[in-house]
Amino acid sequence: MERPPDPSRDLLQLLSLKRHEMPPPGFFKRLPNRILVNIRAGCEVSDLTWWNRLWEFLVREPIAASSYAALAMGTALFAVSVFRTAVEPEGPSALAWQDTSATVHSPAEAPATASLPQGMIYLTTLPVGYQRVRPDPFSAAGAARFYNVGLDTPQTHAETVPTHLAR
Amino acid sequence: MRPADFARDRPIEIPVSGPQSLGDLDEPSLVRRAQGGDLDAFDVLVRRHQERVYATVYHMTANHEDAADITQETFIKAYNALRGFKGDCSFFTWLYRIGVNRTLNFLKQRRNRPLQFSLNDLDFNAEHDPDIVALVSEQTPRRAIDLTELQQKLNAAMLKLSEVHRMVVILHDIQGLPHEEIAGIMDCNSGTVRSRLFYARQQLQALLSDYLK
Repeated sequence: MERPPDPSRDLLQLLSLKRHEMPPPGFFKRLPNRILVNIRAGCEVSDLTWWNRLWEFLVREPIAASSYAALAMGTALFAVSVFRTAVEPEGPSALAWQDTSATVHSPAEAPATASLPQGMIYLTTLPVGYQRVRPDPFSAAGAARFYNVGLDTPQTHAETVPTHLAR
Repeated sequence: MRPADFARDRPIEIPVSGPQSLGDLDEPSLVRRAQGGDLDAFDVLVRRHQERVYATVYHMTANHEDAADITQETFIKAYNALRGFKGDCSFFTWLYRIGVNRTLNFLKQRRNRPLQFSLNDLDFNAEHDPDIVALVSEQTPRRAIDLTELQQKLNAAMLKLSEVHRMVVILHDIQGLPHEEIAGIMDCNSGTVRSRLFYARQQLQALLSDYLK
């Protein structure tokens, strides 16, 4: 009984043509010499991307890596300090960042000299004149400010006003 | 005394560790010598493997100049990394792995550029190969074209395969390596090699259907 022809047999025959493709005569005599000349010349081959090469360099040179990291950190800190000075040049803004015991003061506890608008509360314990305030959502006036109701400015959030305040 | 006579009277020098005597050594011994910096031993390794490495790279790129450069780089890289070769696999497999990775990286970098053929000529034996004779003498459209045209169609079809599928076809169907060895070279399991080979052959059959029965 005759076996059915293998469908890949023809393909394999066709692929055998590739085995007969030969480089120019003398190529394999010259190639080893070229390779040895390049090796003797200290030629190195690298197929890494610039990012991989940088990473390999940093791993290989830990002192240089630490120096670059310190430099980058210093630059970042300097940039942050410059940015903060530019935003609040006259205020002791550094205190606000360091003040971990900041508490919310009610208007009754606020210094007498502070002229706090009705419905506003203090956010920090900074010296008078540098306080940060925000509307007190638990007082009627504050809630009105908070929800932008009853002010002279247009009411852009009317749909969010509770019904007892809208009256 | 004339120079020729003087030369005839000199004792014959037998090279102690030249390439001729190194050629008799087995591969592990040559690798050990090359790891110690013996360039003559490495030269023997290059001469033993250059044709197969070149052929693999050439079939992948279909460009002689690119293949020559990549083959050269493969051996240089292998020499520079030879101290790291622990002998977990054969030197041949290790060398092939470097060549394959180098070729795949090259093709990845060149993916957006148009492909340029630089095909090698077919050798004289091609016309007498029984497979080739059977191929062109049958009643198919192949009769109408000559071997060079068939070679170009075949290379064009090969380049339409993905890199990993092309590599499997080259290593198995052209180079004749077993599945397990290909799996070692391509860093995958032999099941993956078989499935890639099956899929690649199917694609090639579809692409070359005009030239197959």
